[in-house]
Amino acid sequence: MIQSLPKYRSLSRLLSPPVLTLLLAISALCALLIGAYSLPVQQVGLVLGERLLGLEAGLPQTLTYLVWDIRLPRILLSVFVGGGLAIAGAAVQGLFRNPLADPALIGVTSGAMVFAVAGILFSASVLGVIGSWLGYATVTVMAFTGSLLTTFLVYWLASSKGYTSVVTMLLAGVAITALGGALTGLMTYFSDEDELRDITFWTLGSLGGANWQMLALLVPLVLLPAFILWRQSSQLDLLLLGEREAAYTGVNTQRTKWIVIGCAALIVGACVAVSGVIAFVALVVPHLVRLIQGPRHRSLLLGSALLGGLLMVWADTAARTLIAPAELPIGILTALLGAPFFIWLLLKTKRSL
Amino acid sequence: MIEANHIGVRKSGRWILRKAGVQVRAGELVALIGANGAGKSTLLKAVAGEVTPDEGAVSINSKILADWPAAGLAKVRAVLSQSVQLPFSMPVIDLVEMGRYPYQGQEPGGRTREIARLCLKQVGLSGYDDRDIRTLSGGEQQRAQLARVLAQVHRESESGERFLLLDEPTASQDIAQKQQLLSLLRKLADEAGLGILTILHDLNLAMQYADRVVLLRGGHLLKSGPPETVLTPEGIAQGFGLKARVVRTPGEALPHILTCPTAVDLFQNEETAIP
Repeated sequence: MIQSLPKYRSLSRLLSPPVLTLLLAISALCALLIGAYSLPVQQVGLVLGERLLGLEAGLPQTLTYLVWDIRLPRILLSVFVGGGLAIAGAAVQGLFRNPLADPALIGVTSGAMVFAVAGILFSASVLGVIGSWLGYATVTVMAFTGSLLTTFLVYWLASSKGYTSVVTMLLAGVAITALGGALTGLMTYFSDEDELRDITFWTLGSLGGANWQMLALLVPLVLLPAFILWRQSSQLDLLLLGEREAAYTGVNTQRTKWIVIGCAALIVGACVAVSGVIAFVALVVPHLVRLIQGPRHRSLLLGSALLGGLLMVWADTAARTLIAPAELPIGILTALLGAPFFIWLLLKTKRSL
Repeated sequence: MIEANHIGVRKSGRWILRKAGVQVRAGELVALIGANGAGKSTLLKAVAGEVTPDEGAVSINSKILADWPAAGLAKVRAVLSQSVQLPFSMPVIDLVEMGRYPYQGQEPGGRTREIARLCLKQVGLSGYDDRDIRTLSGGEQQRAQLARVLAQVHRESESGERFLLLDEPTASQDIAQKQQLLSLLRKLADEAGLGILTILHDLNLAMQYADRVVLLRGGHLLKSGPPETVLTPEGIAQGFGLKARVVRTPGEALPHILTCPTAVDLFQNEETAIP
């Protein structure tokens, strides 16, 4: 069968980075208006004007609080978590040379979660700093350690001589996730009621706790590694040919591998620390971008970051409005949507497994 | 010039290559032949720098491999392994452009694309730019990969010797494509001055196109020299344990090799002329 690629070209222009950025900005503004209480656009505009430009609008404090302290940080958090997870997913898929390598599916998120939960318990019961800046930092460092260790472990288990066995990779993910579940369960079992509530919140995945402190911690921990990953685009392209061919072409494969593992783990760790387990974003988004723009990482990583942020804004808006005034954990929502997609992808790649 | 002398490679305590060697000059096409397990791939990997020899050393342009910086080495020699598979769909032109990685930031993107197109043309894949690499036939994929390594050593102005190392490039080609591929390699050696070291299974192709043939057996260098002196009935018998006739056809400069069923001892192991 002869198949040409140009049919994607028009779609690729349609979803170019500037267009995606514009869509993302519009979506973020829309998401500010939508919620348990829908707000008129003028009022939101006034709040933003008051806060950003220093205008005196004399708005009610509850309105300012709702827009500026509740919704805006939450929307920005969803942009960075979605974008971060997607870019990490795209890079890890490039490293593993496989579209199924989602950090959540190969156990990395689970590893981050175990360490994050341990971090929550530690900072709550020993340091007594939960909910503060130091508390977030402790959990983030722990989550990063967990994701780094598991990424390395899975890569070590699944690859030999620069080629990755998909079956081993996914099975290693199953094993690590099972172990992670058991360890989390154990810690849940021994925790008191307050800690239990915290832990449950992490494991389901939610952006509900968003605040500016969290953002201040997350943004640099996503942007910096994302930028470093993006600078490795050409090296990641060549790794698609296998480690050996990449090395023949002049790529320092060891260095690239460590940069990718380190940066992806940092992003996943930071995201897990603020939002818990949000699965399938890192799987679905890079796959869509790859279909539209091809597998070259320069456009893939950028497109994934933007589309990931875009999808997450809408997913979170849905999570907080579908059963308003109650809230659906976003991790459950993405899993409901993402799991069928994963099965479809599995069927599609069945022959090559 | 590539020089690999007295190369020894040990794998789990056993020598899989011992006192093997090969020299490739610029503009020369050298065929590496031998039975399966003779050490051809290992020797090629040692020359490529993937395997570090336990004995002896490889040098390119009088510089030991270990002293070459990765990017510099990639500019003077390109390697094509036997089957390179891409995990994702990709336009052919993008694949070929990836070969220009060592020149990144040193040439404008438009020039990279022109070089990629030129290399695609050389391997007979003009107009395949936007085709999805994974929908090409095995032979076409192999030639697209060849275009990628050609792009890697493509030079515009600077001189300096460059080399191609190929592991059985004719593997998935049909009989006509095999000839085309080898004449392309011949042309690259003659006109672009590339030094080419290639593993070949087809002895007749080696006979027709190579300047020199290196015959390995059991990890040792058995014979090396111009094809007619290596690919003799004795050489083939020693190297492959196979009876063969080397026949000259009137009107053709080079002899042909006919392999014979070993059970039937019909022919003498010597060069005979068909009347």
